[in-house]
Amino acid sequence: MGNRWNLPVLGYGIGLRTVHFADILDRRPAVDFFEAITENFLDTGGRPLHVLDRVAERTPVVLHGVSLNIGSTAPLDFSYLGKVKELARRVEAPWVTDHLCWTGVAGRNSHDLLPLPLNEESLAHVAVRVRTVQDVLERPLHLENPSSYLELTASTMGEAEFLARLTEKADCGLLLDVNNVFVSSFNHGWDAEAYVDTIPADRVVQVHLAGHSDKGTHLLDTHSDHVRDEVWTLYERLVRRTGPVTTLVEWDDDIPALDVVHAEALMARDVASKALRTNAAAA
Amino acid sequence: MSALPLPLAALQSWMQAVLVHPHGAQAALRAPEARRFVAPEDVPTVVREHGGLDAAQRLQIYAGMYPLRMHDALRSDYPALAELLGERAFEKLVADYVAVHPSRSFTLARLGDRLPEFLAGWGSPRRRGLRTDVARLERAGAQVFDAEETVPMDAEAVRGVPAADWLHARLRPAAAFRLVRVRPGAVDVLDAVLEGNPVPERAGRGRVEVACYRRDFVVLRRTMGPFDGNLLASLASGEPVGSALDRAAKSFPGGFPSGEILSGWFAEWTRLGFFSGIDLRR
Repeated sequence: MGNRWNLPVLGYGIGLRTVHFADILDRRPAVDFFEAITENFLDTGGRPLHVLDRVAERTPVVLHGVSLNIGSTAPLDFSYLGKVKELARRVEAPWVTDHLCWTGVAGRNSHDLLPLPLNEESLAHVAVRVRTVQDVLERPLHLENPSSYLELTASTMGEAEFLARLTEKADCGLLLDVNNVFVSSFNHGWDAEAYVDTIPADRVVQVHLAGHSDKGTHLLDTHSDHVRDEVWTLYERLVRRTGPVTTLVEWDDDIPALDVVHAEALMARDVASKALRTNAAAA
Repeated sequence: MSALPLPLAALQSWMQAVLVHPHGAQAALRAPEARRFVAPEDVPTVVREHGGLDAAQRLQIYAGMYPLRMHDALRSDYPALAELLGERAFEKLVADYVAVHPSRSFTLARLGDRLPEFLAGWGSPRRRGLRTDVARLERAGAQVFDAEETVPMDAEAVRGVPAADWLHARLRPAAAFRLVRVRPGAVDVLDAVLEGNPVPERAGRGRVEVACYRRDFVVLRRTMGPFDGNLLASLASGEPVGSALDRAAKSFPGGFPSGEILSGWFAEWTRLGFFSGIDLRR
């Protein structure tokens, strides 16, 4: 088990968030790695970049973007990619991630992760762009499954199948957001366990975990709470397939103290250990 | 009218037209920008309906989050302006502004770049100048926050400039430095919001120069006096020291600030890191 590229397993990390900057610099918590939102550190030379530099001096940092716009029919933004490449070099990020989505066309950015029709046209379109991005970045790009609130009738395959085929065609990795699997499965009536069982385990390079909110008619991926029990169960199921995998807890709204977020990452470590023990016992 | 199945490009143009429409998904679906691609009655053939939510309701989940995202981004960059306007007027401002200046950047940090100029022609003329000045000050603060870290001009370098070269010397402002000329009331608004006090609404008489700068990555403000402010404005605009002094002398009581006063100002500006260097080319 493990990813097919033998990319390192970084452990159990948390997102690098402004409200924790002082705490992180002062206390140097024993977090395995941090994930920085790429766009928050581009075109800025102020405190955020200073903090990122200090963090990266002693802790691995991966970059997670929200504006790659990989699924858009708009041209790729090579100026943006150049900046991402430079930032990745600066912090020595082992890889860069973004979302399987589109964020805008005609020069606009909705700053949302909008769903694609999951069909042959999208597959071909995105695969070419992923290869181009990896060539530009000279670094692995892994795509994350977004949470979604609508499905397009033009889709001809499920998301897990689409991701499996896309990662094969583009030769990229997966950042599997287990909370998003749960949220989208609830919202669309998918089988979350079948999803986890379908994705190509050796292409999962990183995992995201987060909390979500129940809006009655649908679940919303708010990153505003602890990871739900059902998501932990799915995560355990996934780790039994992937083996040890880089795992990150996202918390972006109502962000609690650093120790609380870190405790959630340590919980992930415990859940993963349990899954791996189960595997060992079965073997 | 609809031409199903839509090619990816047309599908995305349609979805964007619906999701960023200022009046929500229901209204957007009937708008010409969306109808170009999909007739309202055909929407369920594009977006799957299931689980108790129809196609428009599913689109509205995204459409409803768009204005909130824009609002939060601008509220974060312009907190004093939001307080001055009040929540309802600020929401209206966000909607009006984003309709004209939607985000075209990879980052929401650039969304509000043109808000001060937009404000100059927006809303009731009453207090418009004050609103605009508050926004200009807040934008300057954001620019200083994000500016590159540059090495400040050091006092030794200043002392090393031969006296004869000073008249033609030009000072280079630090990247993290902005000087903004505003109504004094704008400063009061920012101070009040920072201290959690009720927001004053008086613009005040005249104008003051406000220096925004950064020390140890913290953005700071200093309201300049009338004479040092004018001199600093001339210098920051790239004017040679000699002509900047001549200009300042015209407004200084007694004709010209003494050497002691001038030295004090320059020493203070150097200490605060307003300038990053001296250009001695004529």
